[in-house]
Amino acid sequence: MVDAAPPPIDPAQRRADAAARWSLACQAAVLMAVDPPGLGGVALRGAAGPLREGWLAGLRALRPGVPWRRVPLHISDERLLGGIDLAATLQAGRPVAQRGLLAEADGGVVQLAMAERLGPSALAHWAAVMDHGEVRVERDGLSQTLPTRFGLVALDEGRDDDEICAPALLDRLAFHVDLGEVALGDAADPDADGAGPVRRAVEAGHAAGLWAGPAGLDAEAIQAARATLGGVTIADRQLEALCTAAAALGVASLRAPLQAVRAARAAAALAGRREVDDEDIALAARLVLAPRATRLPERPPEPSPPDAPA
Amino acid sequence: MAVPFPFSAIVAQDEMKLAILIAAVDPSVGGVLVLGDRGTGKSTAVRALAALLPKMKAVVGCRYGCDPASSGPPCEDCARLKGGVAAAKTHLVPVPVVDLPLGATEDRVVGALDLERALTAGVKAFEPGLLARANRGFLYIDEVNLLEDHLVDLLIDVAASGENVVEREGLSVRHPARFVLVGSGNPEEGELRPQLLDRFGLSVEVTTPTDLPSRIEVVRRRDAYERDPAAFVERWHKDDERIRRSIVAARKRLPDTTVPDAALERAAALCLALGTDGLRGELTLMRAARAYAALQGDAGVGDVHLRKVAAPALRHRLRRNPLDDTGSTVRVERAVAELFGA
Repeated sequence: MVDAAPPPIDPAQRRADAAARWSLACQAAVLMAVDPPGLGGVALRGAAGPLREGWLAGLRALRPGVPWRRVPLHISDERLLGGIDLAATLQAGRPVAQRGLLAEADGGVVQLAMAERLGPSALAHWAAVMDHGEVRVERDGLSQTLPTRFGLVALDEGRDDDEICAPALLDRLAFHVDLGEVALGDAADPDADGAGPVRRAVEAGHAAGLWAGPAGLDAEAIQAARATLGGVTIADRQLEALCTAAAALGVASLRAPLQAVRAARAAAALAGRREVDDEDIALAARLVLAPRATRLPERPPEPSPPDAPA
Repeated sequence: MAVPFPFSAIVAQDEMKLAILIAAVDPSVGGVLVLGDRGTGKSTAVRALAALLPKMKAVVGCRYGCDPASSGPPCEDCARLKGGVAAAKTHLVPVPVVDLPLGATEDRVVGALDLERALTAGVKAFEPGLLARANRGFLYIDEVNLLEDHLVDLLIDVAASGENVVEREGLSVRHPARFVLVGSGNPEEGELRPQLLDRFGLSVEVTTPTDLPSRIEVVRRRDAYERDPAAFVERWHKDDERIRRSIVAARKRLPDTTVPDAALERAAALCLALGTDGLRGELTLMRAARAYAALQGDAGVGDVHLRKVAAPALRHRLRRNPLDDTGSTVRVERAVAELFGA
């Protein structure tokens, strides 16, 4: 028997799906702006182009003034981690150190292109720096330890299913966003300041009930949220709920629920609340845990219907 | 740097914690290799140990932190002190736990010409490296799989001989470098050479806990620690103190903890049954069992101690059997069950 042709995709449904996906991507940007090092960052999968640039510009506009560094994939260890400034050393007559890119990005954001191609030894460096919040260099006569806490935007340009970022890298990033099926037309019209698409998307998400935070978002709102973030509390049962959800979704990593807890706090801070509420939990689960799900939660077995009378 | 996460607050991972405690009680056991996937608290545990260990007496003015009570020839720094080691001033210093960061080059590990003094004063002086700093303490290597071969060889040699010999850049220096090597790594990311594996006394496997209550507790504690590290450390202070006291007591008891002939025979029988190469397996098994007995406060080594340390001491020394692809831990446990009775 010949398989029936798949039903034609309803264009309106596709647009709605894409708009929802884009809205989630922008919500991830907003939360990341509140707490970049705590959330680790975003793995942004999608082709280079105006959509991705719009997202990046939106994130940048939410945190103006913080260091922003673009790291090319094949950067030398010395440029990434730091080393001796040879010219200055010879001139001064004593060892003069040079900070690497990661140390320069302290307090800001690092953008890594072609992240899906990051090799294992480079990856180990990134992992060590992100885990410990410092760069340690012991090479070529130089010994230095510099604190650095930043958020990472890993730009994944892979096309095939097997071209993905290394799991060790993904594990350290709270948000895994796939722009693959979103077309430029699905994003809101660009604005003069470039932050328009993100802001409009958040507003649209707010209207569609996908986003409980404030509708009008700008750098000031982010700053206000950052100021109160330290005092936001989460109830133990909410923390348990996120862990349970992660387990039910088959998310093996323990970093994921921890990142979800931080995302929930960031969402609460943005809404001006001192306590995380259930909507923050739902948002955190949707943004942090759902993309990493490896299975659907098991449905409780349906109670069997009573025997029909004879 | 932030206050380290307390050792006693680490959830589960009992085998890893025990291995590290055994290495702290008796460094001659030979180092710990911790293998497992990411985010399993490997580096946390070793760093937590640093905060836990009791301070040690060291000679003031010696760059290698020599023990004033040690017999044997003094190191070059101690030899230069006025009045010799006997008259030297001493102070209490924390036990060093030195990190070998990725990308470390040999000159920083081994020590090299002091560049600054050479450039400014034109003087040829030795600047000690990480091996010097780790003397009498622990050297921790994250991602052992990714370490360059020549560095691995170097570390193996120094760890075995207890002495670092530097012949480079016109320098010829010899200094004490006795440390416990602790390495972590992910076996999925690269095979470890058998020679390297064999040099580690104990090996443990760690995995993320799978039961929900443990997972919740890990996240709960990690979150609490990050919100207020000082308060969190204070809450676990008593438990850490208890562990520190038990290490100190075990070290005192160690010389008097007996190893009866019966235990020696058991150990030999186990190693024969498993076909471990060489005698290092037996030696490690005995030392680890003795350290464990000392930690437990028992007078001598018995079956219960051998059982406990069999897997960590032997799982990485098994010859590969192409006909048997069960994991090495299972093979060790099976042999233990057969020999000692279930």
